[in-house]
Amino acid sequence: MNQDGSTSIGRRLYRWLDERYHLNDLVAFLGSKDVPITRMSFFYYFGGITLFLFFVQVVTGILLLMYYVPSADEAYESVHYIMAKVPFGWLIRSIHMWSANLMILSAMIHLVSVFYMRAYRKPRELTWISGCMMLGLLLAFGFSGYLLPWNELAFFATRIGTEVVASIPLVGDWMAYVMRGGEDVSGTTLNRFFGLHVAVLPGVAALLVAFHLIAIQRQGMSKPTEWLNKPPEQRRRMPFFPNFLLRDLLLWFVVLNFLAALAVFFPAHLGEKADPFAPAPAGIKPEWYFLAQYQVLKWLPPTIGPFDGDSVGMLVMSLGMLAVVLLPFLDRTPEGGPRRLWLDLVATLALVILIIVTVLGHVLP
Amino acid sequence: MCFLDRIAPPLLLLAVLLAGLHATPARAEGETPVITGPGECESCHTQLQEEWLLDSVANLAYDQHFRKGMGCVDCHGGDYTATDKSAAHDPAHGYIGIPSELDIPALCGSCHNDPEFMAAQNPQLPVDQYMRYWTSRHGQLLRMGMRKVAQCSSCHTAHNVRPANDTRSSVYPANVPQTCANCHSDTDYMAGYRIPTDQFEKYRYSVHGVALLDEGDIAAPACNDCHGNHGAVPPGVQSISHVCGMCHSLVADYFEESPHAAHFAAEGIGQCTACHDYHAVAHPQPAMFNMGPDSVCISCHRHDDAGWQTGRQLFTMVSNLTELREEASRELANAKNLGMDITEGEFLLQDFRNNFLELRTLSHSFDMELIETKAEEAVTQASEARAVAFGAVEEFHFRRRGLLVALLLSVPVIIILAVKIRSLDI
Repeated sequence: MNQDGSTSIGRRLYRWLDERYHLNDLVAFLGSKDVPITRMSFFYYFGGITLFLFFVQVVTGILLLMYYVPSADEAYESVHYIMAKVPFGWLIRSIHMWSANLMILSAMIHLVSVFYMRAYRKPRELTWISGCMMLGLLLAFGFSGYLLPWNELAFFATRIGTEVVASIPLVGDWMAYVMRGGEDVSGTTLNRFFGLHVAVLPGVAALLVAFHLIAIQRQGMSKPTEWLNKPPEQRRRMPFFPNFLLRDLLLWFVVLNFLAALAVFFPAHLGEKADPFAPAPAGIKPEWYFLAQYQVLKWLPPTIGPFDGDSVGMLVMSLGMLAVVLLPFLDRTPEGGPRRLWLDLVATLALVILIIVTVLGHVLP
Repeated sequence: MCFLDRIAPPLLLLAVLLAGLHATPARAEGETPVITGPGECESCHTQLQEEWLLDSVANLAYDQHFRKGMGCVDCHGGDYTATDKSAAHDPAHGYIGIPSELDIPALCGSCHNDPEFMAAQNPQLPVDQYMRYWTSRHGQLLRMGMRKVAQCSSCHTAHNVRPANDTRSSVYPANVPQTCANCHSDTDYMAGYRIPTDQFEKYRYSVHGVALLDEGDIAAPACNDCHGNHGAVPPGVQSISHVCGMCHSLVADYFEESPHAAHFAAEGIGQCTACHDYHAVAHPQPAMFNMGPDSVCISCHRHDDAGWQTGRQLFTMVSNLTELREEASRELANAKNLGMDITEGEFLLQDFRNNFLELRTLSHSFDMELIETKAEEAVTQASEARAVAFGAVEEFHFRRRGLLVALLLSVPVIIILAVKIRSLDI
């Protein structure tokens, strides 16, 4: 078929769809969308990278589901089968593991950049809160998914993780009991974590992602203060379609290749099958995104005054996280308003401490 | 049968009867032993400061008898309530002082030979040690009037008697070789007995000695596992395969079916020891079958006879299997180092090891048909394990090549996107 013929078919198909779904409105909307250009514009891409990695997780997760058996008797064997026998099973699982880690890292960078660009301010309070909730969901995805291979490391890390949950004041014991499905980590815990990982969390995440994206489309990109402070003729913009989207695509390609390289050079390992009656191996630590919390709890004394040390630690950390979530209500300056130096100082100090404690958690025995 | 073999059984019987007549326990027959407790002995003896006496009771607190409540007079006699030396050491109260070597078995047997009494103290302990002791070479020599022979306290100590499962006990499995060596490796002490004193030296670096003393495997045999405990005797030519067969039962069975069994018996050759030695049992090597300097076969077989050829055949087979195993292990380790999964290969190698072990056991039958069948199974398993390793290494390289191809395919897309982006105004 010649070019005219194919173009004609394409146009006819577009017209057919437009007649029914009003595609012209969408194209017009995309054409009018733009992104402010600042010296921090590069950080805009991390939202898109996080979304891309989320889709990678969905696709690889569905592929893993085709062979994974969620039971204490067969989970380990099924993952071993995926790694050893299923064609490219090792690649899918390794990409799933690396993509999970990169997704959490990318979401964290996105959150920090949104903070420094003051994009959480009115009228984007709910966009910020939904983003914080999604980061929490990603951590829950990581925690629940870590147990699913039912290997020694995952079993004992989950035991430690649920003990940390148990130290939350008032509701901790109940939460830990519900998570484990009993007094200790067992096959029931595996079933619960599996249900959470493949049904509950994806469902909630899909709703939050949809809300987050719709909110961004409805309210447009936030304009950084430094950009708004420029004279109107110096405010540079980039059309979202196709300029920004093409850059997004380019980065996604780079990330996909990076993921493939990580999977090939550092494939996911399985280790030994979990044995609930075996002693915990030395040096068990949680995943990197829980290391800071783990290290702080290790440093805390058993009791602080009349209170349990871990419970006090968890309370303080929970209040810190709550403050982050409620940030738009603590800093009520509207979009384009002046920076708050004290907030920058507190946040930068907290970030530096978080990074140092995470590194110490990794390095210290 | 030699003269000694003919007279040994009646002599042994006589020794047991004499032992029963002479060495009666310290208490009268039917008298129930009584534990009296520590009494007043220590009030004087702790003041004496005699080094030999203090040394001998230094570990009394850990002594099993002491912990059970037994006191000095339960063995040494005397009046434990008296505070005056002559009254405490009054022979009228059964005081015997330090018991003589000849009296010690009977003294210990007065309790340990009493089933009713021992059932109340420690029902797990046997009560036939006293009777067995007199059947042992030690007991026989003691009965003949020799005093440089082991009796109860020689092995168990006098005042530091601990249960055999206590790692500090002189009769804990890993301590038994040294306990026996205390006498048997002492050339001065053993002078006059005309038996070797290098048993411990040989045993120490034998396959059994290394397993027990270096690797801590208490299932490995110590002296008493072959020679017996209280009824210790050196195994004879006829009984040696039964002694070894207690652990190596399949080997013993195959050997009994082999052409060697009847011949060894007729010639009075020690069955297992003829090839493996006794105290210096080395880990079996393929070279044992080779008709070279390390071979044991050439002790009897001559060039090109049937045994010579079977030996060479076995040597070639075992050498090839050893080489195959090493190659498969090396290749699997290499694949593992590359981060590849080799579980299937490890299982195959484990199957190979089991088969190889069975083959080594089967080799005692010298039935080449059976051995070759087993060898074929082992060769298949080692070859498959090696194939798993090669497959894993190939997969490793395939993954890298695949990544390279994927990256090369991505490059044009990335270039097109980059060119398109550059063509835009912003």
